[in-house]
Amino acid sequence: SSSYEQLKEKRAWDVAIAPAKSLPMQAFMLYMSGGGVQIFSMGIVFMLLLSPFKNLASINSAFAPFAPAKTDPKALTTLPLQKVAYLACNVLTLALGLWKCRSMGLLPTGTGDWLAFETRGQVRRLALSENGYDWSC
Amino acid sequence: MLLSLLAVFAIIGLTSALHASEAGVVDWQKSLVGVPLTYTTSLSPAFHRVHDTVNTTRSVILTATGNNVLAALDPVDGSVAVAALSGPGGATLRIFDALTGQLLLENRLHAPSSGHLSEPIDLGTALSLQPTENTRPHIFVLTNGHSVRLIDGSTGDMKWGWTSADQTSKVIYTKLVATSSTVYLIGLSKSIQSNTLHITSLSASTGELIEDVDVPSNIAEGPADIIPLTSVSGAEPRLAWFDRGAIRSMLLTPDLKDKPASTKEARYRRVIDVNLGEERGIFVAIQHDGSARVFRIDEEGPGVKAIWEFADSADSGRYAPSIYSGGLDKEGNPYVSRVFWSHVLGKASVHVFAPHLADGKGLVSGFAFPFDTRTHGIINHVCVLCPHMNGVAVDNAHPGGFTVLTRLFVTTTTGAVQFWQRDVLEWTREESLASISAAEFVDLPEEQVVHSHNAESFVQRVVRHIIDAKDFPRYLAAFVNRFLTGSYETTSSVLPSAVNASGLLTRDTFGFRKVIVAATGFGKIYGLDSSTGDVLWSRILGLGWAAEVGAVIRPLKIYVTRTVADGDTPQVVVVTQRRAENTLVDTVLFHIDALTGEDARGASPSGEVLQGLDIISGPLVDMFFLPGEKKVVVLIDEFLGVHLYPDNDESQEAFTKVAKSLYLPLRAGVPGNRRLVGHQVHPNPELHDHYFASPIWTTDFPASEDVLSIIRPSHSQPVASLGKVLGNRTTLYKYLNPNLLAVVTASKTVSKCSIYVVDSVKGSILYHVSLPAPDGDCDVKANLVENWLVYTYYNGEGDRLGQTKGQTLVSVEFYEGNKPDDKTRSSDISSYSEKSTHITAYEQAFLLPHGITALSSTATKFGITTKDIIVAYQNNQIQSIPRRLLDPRRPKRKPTSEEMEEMLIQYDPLLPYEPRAVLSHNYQVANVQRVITSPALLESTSLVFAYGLDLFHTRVTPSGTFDVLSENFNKAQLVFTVGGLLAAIIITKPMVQRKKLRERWYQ
Repeated sequence: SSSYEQLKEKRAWDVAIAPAKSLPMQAFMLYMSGGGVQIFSMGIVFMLLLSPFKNLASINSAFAPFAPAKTDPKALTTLPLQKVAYLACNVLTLALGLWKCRSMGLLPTGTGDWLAFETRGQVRRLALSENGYDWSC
Repeated sequence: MLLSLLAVFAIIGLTSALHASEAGVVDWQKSLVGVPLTYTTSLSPAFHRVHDTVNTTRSVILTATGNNVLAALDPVDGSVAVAALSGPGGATLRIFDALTGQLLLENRLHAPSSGHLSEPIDLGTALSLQPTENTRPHIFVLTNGHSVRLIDGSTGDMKWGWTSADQTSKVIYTKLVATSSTVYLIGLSKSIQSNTLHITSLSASTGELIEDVDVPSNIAEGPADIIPLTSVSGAEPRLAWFDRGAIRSMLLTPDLKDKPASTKEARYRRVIDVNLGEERGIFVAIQHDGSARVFRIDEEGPGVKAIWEFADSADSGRYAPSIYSGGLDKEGNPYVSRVFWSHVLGKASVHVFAPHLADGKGLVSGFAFPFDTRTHGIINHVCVLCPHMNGVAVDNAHPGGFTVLTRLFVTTTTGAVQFWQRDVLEWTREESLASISAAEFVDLPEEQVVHSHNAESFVQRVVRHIIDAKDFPRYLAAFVNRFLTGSYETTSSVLPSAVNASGLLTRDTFGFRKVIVAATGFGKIYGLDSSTGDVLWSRILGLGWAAEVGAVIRPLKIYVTRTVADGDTPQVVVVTQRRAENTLVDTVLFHIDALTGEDARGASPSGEVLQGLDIISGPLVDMFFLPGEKKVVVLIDEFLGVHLYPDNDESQEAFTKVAKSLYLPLRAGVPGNRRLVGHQVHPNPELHDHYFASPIWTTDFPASEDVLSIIRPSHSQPVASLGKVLGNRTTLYKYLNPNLLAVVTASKTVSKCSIYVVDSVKGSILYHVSLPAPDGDCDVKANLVENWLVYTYYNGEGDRLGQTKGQTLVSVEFYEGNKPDDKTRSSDISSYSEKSTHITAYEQAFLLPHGITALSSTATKFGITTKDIIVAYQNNQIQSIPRRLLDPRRPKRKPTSEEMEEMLIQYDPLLPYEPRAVLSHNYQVANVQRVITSPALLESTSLVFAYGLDLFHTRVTPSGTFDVLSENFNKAQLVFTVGGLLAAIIITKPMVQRKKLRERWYQ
């Protein structure tokens, strides 16, 4: 049954690096979907942004079938190396999604994105000249 | 190149295309000709009869006006038949068709610059026609006071010319009499004490000098004292003149040998040319007691004789001084009229003398007409026409049965012209609106339903509510009807009538209707309805103490001192400068209710002349307006003393509060050497803490430069955006220093003008550009709004090769710091901070297809809408130029994708003349001097009013009407769709429920 345990561990590694394996495919899809803000590209971006969080939320149940015997299959401490790798791969996916967001201009990183929230105080010097007289005489 | 042009057209098409259905609904135009010139006989209004077709004749009123317009008015309805705008310089002969205004002939007689007689403008020029076999007569033209030409009227060729041998001599010819054989030139020869008559006769066919004599005479006044007389009956022409109280006359013969004859007594005061001298030989002389005598050529004798004396025309306290004028009827019979204001009747009276009636003895008929002197001031000039004689076949039963059907064309001191058919007013034209000196938009109040149920008991209130409830079903029906089918007002629908049931002016839904308060240079103030251009009210500005000596009131500025937002009827203060005949200048304020024109100070009764408040006994240096809770008009006199209006404790307090932070840039010095000097105000403890301004800085412009004008930010509007976001999402922060000023200066040493942008708190120069000034003439128009300066000038012959000649418009934008994302918080920081001068100016120049006479930017309520530039072109059109075309950051190559994200288009030096962007469509809006704009209640819309000669008003939507439903929005369709869906749900809901139930049972 040690071969069965080895098999389970190998399968756990497969699950852990699965998100990284799909990255090239996703990158290709992102490339194909273009830079415009359209329903297709938005769908892919949302998927890229959401799936890491969904994956990480169910990280324990994802690895439960491959937990070694005698350990609690739902505990976070089982299969720690695989889980860390899985986390890293999902962060990669998220990073890809964010990079796409940035290239589409959806991340508020420039000053221009915050201009509408800027305020200026009361004018200190009274602008008397606003209703001036046209000096034509 | 083609692509960028296409893009330009697309943009214009998007933003500002006027639908044909909106023309005349959203805009109006009033053609004006200006106030007729009345001070000289040759230019004042005259009736002119034209053979329209073979049998019928039409008369038109020909007049030259103070706005440099030659106009023909239709006497029937006062419409402008012809208006020809003439340029300056009196050296050009033009012949017009009197009915169509077509220019038949133009002949440059001498260069405008070589003319050396200017005041009055008709001095030294005269015309006389010589009939020929051709349809057009030959024309004798006297110009410049010393040269005469005979010009063929059909070809414009010069037959001969004659110039007086000694042009530097003291003789100036002013009149010209032409007979078939001889041309007589009548001039004045100046000597130390007085003027002497000088007559020259020339041959009409060759222009050779025949005789040249000095007539011993003493003419005090000038050309007005000499009247040449001719007659159709073939009598020799003669000359009458006023000489030290006597009337003298002499026969004009080619040899000029006649000895002057004189009236027996020297008992005359002056002579009046009533425009009947030519061919009729009639003029009027005023005797020492003020009574008037009509003189005519003496057909038998050599001189002139008095043929009539107007009864009761002597000076009297019962009537005002009379105005004499002459006219002709259809048959060419002359008439002399006397018009005067009768204090007893309270009306204007007319006496018309017809010399040919009563078997040549002459007859006077008179009547009074109800001239409204409180609205139109005093009659300035009258032009008379007697088209028909009623009752010429004398009825024996009525020996006095002559009635002369008199038509009067009246010009008043307030610039109105009126046409009277006997005592019936046919029409009035308010021509003073062609010389508006200040105008302002005033908001109208909302329509209010006022319930005043004071001291009502509970039972009474319940009863009233029950009684009111009977109207409920009707209200409900109306509501449902309106909800379902009712059409909403659109921006292009016709506005409802301005005056509601209670007689008060109210605004419309979108705030398109405002009152334009316009003060004219003729001492009258008008309230115009901005939706139609109708005159709502008009008042005469009173002269105060100067009424005794006579004065001219020049309005300088109108301030809205109370707006609708303050909760009461809006009020305006008109600041005027009154120049009395005795050269005293006063600053006078008029405080007016903008809805009715009533005096808000209560000093003048309704309908009477407005009484002003003499706030400064002296000229005004500058004026400001303190906005805020207490609106105060601040005036600064020549001793830099500060005057407040209203002058009460509250306004003093409001002024004291802000006095420390007030910085007043004033223009100091004499014309030609004016500087811009910054002032601050301090209370002077020696003069009861009265505030005085004292200089704190002066700009370091070169000493040779004279400050011509100061341009202040055009509107105190809110700034919607603090910066401009670029394609890479960095921000250019707008330089929003509230103390910016643009100053136009002219250099005295080189022909250059300059524009400076100055911080008015410390006088530092932020931007400076030097412009060419062709002929030393600084015709720079500029507009400053937010951080955007637009100026235009004429770029003449350049000093560089390949430089473009033409009207140039430059757009400059100021941003904080040196690069994007640099932020200095320019609207907050102190002007004394060193960061306040860290700015970057982006600028770009464009070429315009026409010259510009006025320039302004649109204004909207919150400043979110793009600001377009409204320009008035010299081709009498008003156009809006989209802001995007004027963006100084337009790239000079194909725009990159980032620049395309910013909607920047490739730079094209020429701003195309795009007919679709012409706001004035097929109207001709001539000689616009200023364009003012005002926000409507809708953020998308700005009101535009252009004045000068013609008036024009329209509404513009620079970013489209984004805040109203589009016109083709189908409300009924929406209501029916929603209603249909609702019905479907109601019908299918029980069906679905039944089905579900059945499924559960039989699953």
